[in-house]
Amino acid sequence: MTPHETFAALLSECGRALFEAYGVSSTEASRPARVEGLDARVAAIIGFTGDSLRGSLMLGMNPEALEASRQTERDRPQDWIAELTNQLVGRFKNRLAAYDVDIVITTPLVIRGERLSPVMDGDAAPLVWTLGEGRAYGWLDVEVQPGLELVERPGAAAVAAEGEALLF
Amino acid sequence: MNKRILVVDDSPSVRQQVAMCLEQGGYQVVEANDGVEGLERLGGCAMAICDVNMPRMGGIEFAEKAAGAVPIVMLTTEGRAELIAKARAAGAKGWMVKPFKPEQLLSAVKKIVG
Repeated sequence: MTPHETFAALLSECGRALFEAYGVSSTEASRPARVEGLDARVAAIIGFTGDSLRGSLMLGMNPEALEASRQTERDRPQDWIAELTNQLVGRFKNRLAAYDVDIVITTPLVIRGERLSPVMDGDAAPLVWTLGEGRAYGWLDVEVQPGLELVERPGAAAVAAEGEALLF
Repeated sequence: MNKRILVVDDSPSVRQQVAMCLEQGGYQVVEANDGVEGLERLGGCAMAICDVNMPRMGGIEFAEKAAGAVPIVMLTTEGRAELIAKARAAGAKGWMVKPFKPEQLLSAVKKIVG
């Protein structure tokens, strides 16, 4: 697997697990080959950097996906997409730890618009999750240092499990 | 009188979810957007639940400054051992990885403040 294939696989896994944690089952559609048809209305983006890579991850949703995943009616869509993106990148970061890759992440920025679409350029094509009637899009854009090889080391994974309280 | 708990997180969504959970458990909630606000609103609180990555003042620095006053549980997306060790060294009493289940959060809070 190339690093970009590994990143895409991790993003796919992290997205499915995140939606499931909020009670929403998702299926992953094939990557769209064309920009037309993407209907994200709100998105949040988080940048990250590490010794051997840098990039950004953007999560976009159409209104139906946002509504399906939202936890309280008081949540503003902008706040909720920002937090979902934060948790998606957090999962991605924790999974990268198993490959001995550490990244520093920014706080999320929210973008609203009509039919938010990425550049459809090979590895930057979005992953698409279907959530009931809704769709969520994950854009991962990563630059890696030449020669980077990702080797999973099970013992190097994050130690704290999701939801579990470690009391000292 | 219900015990008061400070929730420090720059995500309004997380603050709302944590507040709803704690209020259902019979606690009063005070909210803060970052560590600086958290220090200002700490008075009278029995404990604090705090994010790690926040603008102005993050959770580890908040724990360094506030852990002498109240027990602190970190609630974050981060799960790496070295960061957990830093929080522990800063005086934090616990660590939870988001997303949380309400019953797990309440159970941890009850163990700490009763």
